[in-house]
Amino acid sequence: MSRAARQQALVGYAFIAPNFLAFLIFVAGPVVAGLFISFSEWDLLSPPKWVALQNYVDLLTNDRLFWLSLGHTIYYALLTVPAGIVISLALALLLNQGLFGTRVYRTLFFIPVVASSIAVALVWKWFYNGEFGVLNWLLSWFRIPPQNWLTNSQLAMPAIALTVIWKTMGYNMVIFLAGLQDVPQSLLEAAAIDGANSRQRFWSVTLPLLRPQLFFVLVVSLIGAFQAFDMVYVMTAGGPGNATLVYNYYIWQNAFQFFKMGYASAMAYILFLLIFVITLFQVRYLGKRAYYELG
Amino acid sequence: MNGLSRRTFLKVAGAGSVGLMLAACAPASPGAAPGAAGGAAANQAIKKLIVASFYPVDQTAGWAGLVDQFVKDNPGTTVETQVTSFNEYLPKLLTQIAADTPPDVLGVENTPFIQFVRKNVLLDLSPLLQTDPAFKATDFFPKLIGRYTVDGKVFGIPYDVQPICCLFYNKKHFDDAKVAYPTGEWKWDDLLAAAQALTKQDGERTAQYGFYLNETATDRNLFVFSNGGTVADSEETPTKPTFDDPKTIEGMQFWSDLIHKQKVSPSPAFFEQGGLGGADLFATGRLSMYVNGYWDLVFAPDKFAQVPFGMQIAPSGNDGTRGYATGGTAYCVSQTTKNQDLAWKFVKYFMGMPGYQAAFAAATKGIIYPPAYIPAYNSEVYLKQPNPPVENLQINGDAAEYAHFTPHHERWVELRDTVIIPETQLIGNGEKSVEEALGVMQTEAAKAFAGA
Amino acid sequence: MRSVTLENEVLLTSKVVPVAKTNEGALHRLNTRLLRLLLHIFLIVLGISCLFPFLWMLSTSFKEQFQVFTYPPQLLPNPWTLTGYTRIFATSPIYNWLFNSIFVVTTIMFSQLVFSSLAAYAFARLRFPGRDIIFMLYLATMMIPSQVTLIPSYILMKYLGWIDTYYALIVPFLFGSAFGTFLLRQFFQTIPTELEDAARIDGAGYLTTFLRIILPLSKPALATLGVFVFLYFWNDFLWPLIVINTNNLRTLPVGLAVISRSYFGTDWPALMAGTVISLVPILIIFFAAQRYFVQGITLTGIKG
Repeated sequence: MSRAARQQALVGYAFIAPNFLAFLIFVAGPVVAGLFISFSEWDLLSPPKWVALQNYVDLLTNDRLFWLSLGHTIYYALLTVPAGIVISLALALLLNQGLFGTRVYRTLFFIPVVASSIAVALVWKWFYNGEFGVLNWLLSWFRIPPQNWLTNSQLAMPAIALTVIWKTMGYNMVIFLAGLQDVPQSLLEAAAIDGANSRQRFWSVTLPLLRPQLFFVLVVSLIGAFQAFDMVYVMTAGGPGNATLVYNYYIWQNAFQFFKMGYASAMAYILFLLIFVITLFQVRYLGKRAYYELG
Repeated sequence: MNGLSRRTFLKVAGAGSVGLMLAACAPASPGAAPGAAGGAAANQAIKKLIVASFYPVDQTAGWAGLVDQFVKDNPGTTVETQVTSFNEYLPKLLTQIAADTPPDVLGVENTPFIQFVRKNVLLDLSPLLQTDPAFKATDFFPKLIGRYTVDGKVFGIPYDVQPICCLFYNKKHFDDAKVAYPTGEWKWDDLLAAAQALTKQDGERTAQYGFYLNETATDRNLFVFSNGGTVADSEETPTKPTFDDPKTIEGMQFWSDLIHKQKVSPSPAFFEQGGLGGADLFATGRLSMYVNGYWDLVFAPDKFAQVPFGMQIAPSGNDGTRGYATGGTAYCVSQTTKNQDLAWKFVKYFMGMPGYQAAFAAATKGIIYPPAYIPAYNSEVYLKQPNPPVENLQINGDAAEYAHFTPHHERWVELRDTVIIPETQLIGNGEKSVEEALGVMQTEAAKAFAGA
Repeated sequence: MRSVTLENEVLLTSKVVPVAKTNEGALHRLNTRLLRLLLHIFLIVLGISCLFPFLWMLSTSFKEQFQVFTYPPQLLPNPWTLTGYTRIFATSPIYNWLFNSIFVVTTIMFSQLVFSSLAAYAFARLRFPGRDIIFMLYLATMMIPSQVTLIPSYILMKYLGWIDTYYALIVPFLFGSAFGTFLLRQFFQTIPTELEDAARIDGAGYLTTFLRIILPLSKPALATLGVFVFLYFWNDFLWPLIVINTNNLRTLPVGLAVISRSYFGTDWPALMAGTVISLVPILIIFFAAQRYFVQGITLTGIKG
C-alpha cells in the first residue's frame, strides 16, 4: 500500500473508531449473545441449557403459531406497503402542483409521524371502538352499520394497517416530494411538446426518475412491516382469536410471557435471515436500475 | 467558504462531553424512598431492600407512607420500591432475574407462579410463618394461601382477596323497570330474567344493556364455575385438561347465549379487554349490571360518580353451586436475597395491619383492595370502614370459599395466551360456536400437557 | 446534451406537434377551478383526519373520567376540568421525567450528530480495508428484532454497573447508530467530489475538509438526522423501562405508562394529559427544524 493510501486508511479507521467500537460493544455483542441464546433453552429463571438446533427444528415443524404469525406478517406487509407507497406518492404529486397552502398541508400530514406509536395506537383504539368509537358514529351518518373494527377477525388487521398507513404516509410523502423536485421541468416540457398528456408524462418521465426514492421507501417499509409490533401490542394483543398475531408479537410472548427465551431468539434469527434475503433481492434486482445520471 | 470552524466543531463536541460529565456527576440512584433514618448506628451498613410490584398509583401513595414508617422502625435500612406498569411487569422482572439481580421482595401473579416455584426462585416461607403468632398461615383465607402453597410449602403470601364475584348494578335502572334489586340468593335464572327486563332497544341500537361479564375466558368464566364445570382434572396438580366437560360447555353456552341469543349482553367484541370494559359502559349509564372484581371500584371511584350503584354477590348456578374465578398476586421473597430477615419483616409489615392501614389512609376515598390478611379484612380498613363506598362488602370474603384458580401447570400461561383467550374471543364475537372453540382448547391443551 | 435513460423511447422521437391553444378556453378554466376546489377539499379533509386524533387527545385531557366514553362522542368536554393534569402533576414526579427525557435525548442527539457524521464521511469517502464489510454489518444488525438483544444488553449494563443510572440511558447510544451512519453516508456520497479534491490540492487534511467543506453543506441532512434521533429516543419506551428502576430517574413515556396504564383500567384523562405534555417538546423541535428538515430529506439524495 502506498503511503498516501495507508494514511487514508488510518484516518478512515480513526474516524469510525468511536462509532465502530461502540457498535461492537453495545450492538454486535448482544446480537452475538442472542445468537447463542437461540441455540439454548432458557426460561430466564434458571440458567440456559444448550440444545443446538432444536429450537429451529421445533419452530419449523411443530408450531402452528409460527407459520400463522409469519403469514399474518406477510399479510400485514401486503396491506401496508403497496397502499402506503401509492398514497404517499399521490399526496406528493398533489402537493407538487404549487397549490395554495402546500406548506400547511405538508406539515399537517407529517404530524402523525411525530407522535409516539403508543399514543397513536391508544387514540385509534378508541376511534375504532365498536361501542363508543368515532368511526362508527361517523359511518352512521352514511347509514353504514357499526362494525367491530378491532374485534372482528376479518377487519382487525386491515384496521391496524389503516392506522399504520395514516401514521407513516407523511414521512414517505416528504421523501417523494423531495424526489419530485429533482425531476427537471425541461424534461416534462419536452415530453409535452412531443404530445404526451399528463398521464403519459407521469408514467414515462416522472415515475422512472423517482426510482431511487421508490427503492428506498420500499426497502425501509418492508423492513418496518416485518418488524411490526407496537400497534399490535397496544391495539389488539394479537387478537381476536390470534387474527392479528404478527411475528414480532409472538417473539415477545415467547420471550417474556411463556418462559421460552431461546425459542424466541431462534424466531428472531429466522426473521433476520428472511429480511436479509429479501433486502439482498431488492438491492440486486431493483437497486441497479435505481441510479440515473442527470448530466 | 466559511465552513464549520474547528472551534465550532469542538464546541459541539464539548457540549456532548459536558453532557457526559453531567451524567457522571448526577446521582446514581436518587431513591424513591427516603434514606436511612437519622441516627443510624454508625458501624451498621445500610441494608437495602428492593421491592417490586405493579400496583397503580393509589397503592403507590400508600407505599410511601408505609415505607417511611418501616424505615423509621428499622434504622439502618433503606427500601427502594419499583413499580412498573402491569403489561411490562413480568418482562422487567424476568430480565432482572436473568441478570441475577432479582428484587428482594417481589410480586408474582397467580398464573406464572408455578414456574417461579419449580425453578427455585422463591424462598420457602413456611418456617418463617411459624415464628410470629400475629402472622401465621391461618391468618389468611385458606383457598388463597392454599394457591401459593406447593408440596406443602408456602412460597407466597396473597395480597388481596378479590374473586370475580362483584355484581355491580344500577339502582336507577332497576327502579325504573320495577325490578327487585339482586339478592344474595340469585341464581342464573334470576339474573337472566332481570337482564331481559332491563334491556331496552332504541330502534336498531340497544340503548341499555342488561348484563355484562368482564372476565370471559373459559378458565375464568363465572358461568363455568357456577355450573360446577372444570378446565382440568385438578387445580393443584393437573394432569389432563377437561374442556370437554359437559358442565363447562353448558356454562359457556349460557354465557354465549346471553350475548347472541337473548341479546341482553353486549359482546366483548364491542370493547377491548382491559382498559375498556363493563365499567366504562356502566359509567355512562348504558349498562344495568356487570360482574367483575372489587378493583373496579378501587381504581376509579370517580368513574361511577354519575351512577347510583349497588353491589351484590354474583349469582350461583341454578342448583345453588357457587364458583368464582380468582386471580390475585402473591408477594414472595427471592431465594437469593441477602437480607432475608429484613425482607420477611417487610412482608409482614406490608401484608399485615400496618400495610393496609397505610394504604387505607392514602387511598382515594379510602377504598382499598380487600386484604387477604383476615384480621385486616375484618377491621376498619375494610369491613368495618366508617364510610363504606358500597353495601355488601362481605361478599369478597364470602366468595373466597368458592374460589377457583387457573390450573397450576407450567404451560398454562402459554395456553391462556395462545388458545384459551383467543378462542373465547371468537365465541364472543360470534365467529365460532362454543363446541368448536372448546374443542380447539381441548386439543391444544392436551398437546401441551403431553409435552408437545 | 443531457443523457437520460428513459423507459419509453417513444418520447425521444422527434415528432413535433404544436400544442394547440384551442378554445377549450372557458370550459377548460372552469374544469381546472373545479378540480382545484375538489383537490383542496380532499386535502383539507385528509388534513383534518391527521389533526383530529390530536384534538381528541387534547380534549380528553380536559374531561372528567365519566365523560370520556359517552355516545354520541363529544369532542368538547362538558364540564372542562384540569383534574387530568392535576392528577398527573400531583401524583408523579413529572418534572423529573421531563428533565430526564430532555437531558437524555438532547445529549444523545448532539453526540450522535458528531460521531455519526465522522464515521459516515469515512464510509462515504475514505478507503480502508474492511470498509464495506463493516458497513454491511451495520445494516445487518438493523434487521434483528430488539426483543432478543434486550436481555444480553441488560446483562452488559449490569456488569458495567450502569443499571438505574443515566449511563445506561445514554452511553450505548452516544457514539452514533447504524441508521444515522447509513443516512449520512448516503447524503455525503452526493456531494460532488470536486470540492473535496480542490481542498486537498490546497493542502487541507481530511479533518479540515470534513469540517470546512462537508459539514456546512450537510446542514439539512444533519437537521434531518437530529430530528429522527430526537424522535426515536424521545418516544423510546422499552429500554428505559427495563434499565431504570427509580421513579425519579424515569423518562417521560415510561413514567406516564406506569401511573396511568394499570391492570385495573386506564385513567384516560390523566394519560392523555401526560401524552399532550410529552408531545409539546417534540412539536417544538419539529417546527423549529421544519425549514431544514424538509429541505434535508430533499437533499438526502436517496440515490442508492
